[in-house]
Amino acid sequence: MRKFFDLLWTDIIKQKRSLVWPAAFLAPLITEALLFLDFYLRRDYILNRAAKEGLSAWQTLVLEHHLTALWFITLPMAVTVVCALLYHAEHASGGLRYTLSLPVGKGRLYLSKWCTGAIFLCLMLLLDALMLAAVGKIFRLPGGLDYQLIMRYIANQTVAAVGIMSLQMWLSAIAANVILPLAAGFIGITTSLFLAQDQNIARIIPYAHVLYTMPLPGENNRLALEGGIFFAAFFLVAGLLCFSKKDVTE
Amino acid sequence: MSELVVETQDLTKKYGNFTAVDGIDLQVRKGEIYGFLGPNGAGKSTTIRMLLGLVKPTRGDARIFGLSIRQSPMEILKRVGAIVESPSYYGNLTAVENLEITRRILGADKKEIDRVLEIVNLSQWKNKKVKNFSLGMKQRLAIAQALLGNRELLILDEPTNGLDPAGIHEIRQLIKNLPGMLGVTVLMSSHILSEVELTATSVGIISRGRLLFQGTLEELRRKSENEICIEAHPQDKALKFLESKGLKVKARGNRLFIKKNSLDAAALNRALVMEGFDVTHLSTEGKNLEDIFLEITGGDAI
Ligand SMILES: Nc1ncnc2c1ncn2[C@@H]1O[C@H](COP(=O)(O)OP(=O)(O)OP(=O)(O)O)[C@@H](O)[C@H]1O
Ligand SMILES: [Mg+2]
Repeated sequence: MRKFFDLLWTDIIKQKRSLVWPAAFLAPLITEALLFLDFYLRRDYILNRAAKEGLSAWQTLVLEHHLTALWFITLPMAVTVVCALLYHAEHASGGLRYTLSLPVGKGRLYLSKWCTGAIFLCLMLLLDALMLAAVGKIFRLPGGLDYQLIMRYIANQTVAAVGIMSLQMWLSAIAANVILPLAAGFIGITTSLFLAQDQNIARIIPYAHVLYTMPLPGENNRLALEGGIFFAAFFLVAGLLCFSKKDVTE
Repeated sequence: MSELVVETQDLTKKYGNFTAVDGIDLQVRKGEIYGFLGPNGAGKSTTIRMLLGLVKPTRGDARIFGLSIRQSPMEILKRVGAIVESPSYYGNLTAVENLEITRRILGADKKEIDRVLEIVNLSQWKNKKVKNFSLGMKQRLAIAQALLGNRELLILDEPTNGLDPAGIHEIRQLIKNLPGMLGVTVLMSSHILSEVELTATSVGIISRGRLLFQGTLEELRRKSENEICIEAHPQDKALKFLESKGLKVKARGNRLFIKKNSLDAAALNRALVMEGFDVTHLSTEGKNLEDIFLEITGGDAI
């Protein structure tokens, strides 16, 4: 176990000075900037409209963040980019050869990379939630900070996004060219925007699950949670098997 | 017979229909420097990738330290330092950070990093991003990485690739001294015969995926039996005459070549003259290793 943490630690220092950091942090930053603008321009209008629909101010903040500020697209995109970049460092200049000539093993390297991706995902969501709460505070939303709402929002998103991450990790690991997983992710995300309206279809598309993560009345969070867990496990196992069999020839 | 550190049986790798490595049986003894020699595309790197578990053999097995690479890769890799093909590194990290990855995974001492940087003369560049290194510097870093920790076997794929003449000399000297230090065994590949000649004690020659020769450098040299080269006129009659004496003669250009074995050149000359041939040239020629290498590999460029 200690050895696995050593490996995980090396996977994180491999990201020193890499583009993963800006990729992971820019996404929430941009989204929150959009959200800030949204509230700056029409705070009262938004809150009044939402009150008519029976939503609290904080619930409205989440709704605006998720849909108007486009987080439901930005998050999967950011996950796609982070996964691709994590493996790009390995494919670019013989990194896989470097690490796998050491007593690491393909399976353990894959797991370690998967965990690294999960760590970046959590960091990204945490940063986003902090900024989300900050925006709510700045605009003096009535009724104090709704911790429970934000916690549930983070939890739902984490589970749904891990499903996407698991899929993207697999694609990024086996494709020697970084364009491939990026293209697959972007196409998957954009097409799922149309298909995600139908819950039966959304259920089988990991990219669509983030849409169902708002902890608001009438939202089908179960779809996101069940889908996220299923796809996270499924693609982790598939990726692990696939990568362990893969010849390192680059 | 001394202990075998590397032993492969029928090791084979196919990519689709193409056989990159074709049933080779390597034998590397403890404490020796084994030169793995072959022209470009012969299958050296593919063999090395199989030894390191990077590529799964299609058939056959490799045993290192008596352990099967299929069954106990981790135990083996702990004790093996390696360079595979062009230097591999993480470009966004410095030399020290790259080595720190190796050190962490091996659980080696912190001091090891400075020690190996010193050996390959990279100490002054240790905090520079490897992306900005020259090819030779990257190669040195790769060697440093392979030396870090107490490795018992070094598998070096073209270790002097990209180095300047001084660097080549330096690294060759280092490799030569390795078995003396801690009894390290070295398996190094090269496509340069003279390099193997200068450093190795044993040789394996591979071409088109097949191992064509394996033995000590001495055994290889012994293959360089001399030939007798004769210019006699008329040539075709001389050829027939010599063949009638039970000799194997090859005509190349206007000269005849005969394997020397225990043949006496003077007696041969006398016999030809007595028979009425005009002998205008007679010499004995030794083949150098280059010739033998070309002969063994069927004339593939080195
Ligand atoms: N991934 C692959 N797919 C298909 N063929 C491959 C692959 N890797 C290597 N080969 C082929 O296998 C053969 C042996 O390649 P290898 O890299 O082992 O040669 P080498 O002896 O190391 O040559 P060099 O001296 O140029 O480094 C080559 O013909 C090469 O084209
Ligand atoms: Mg090679």
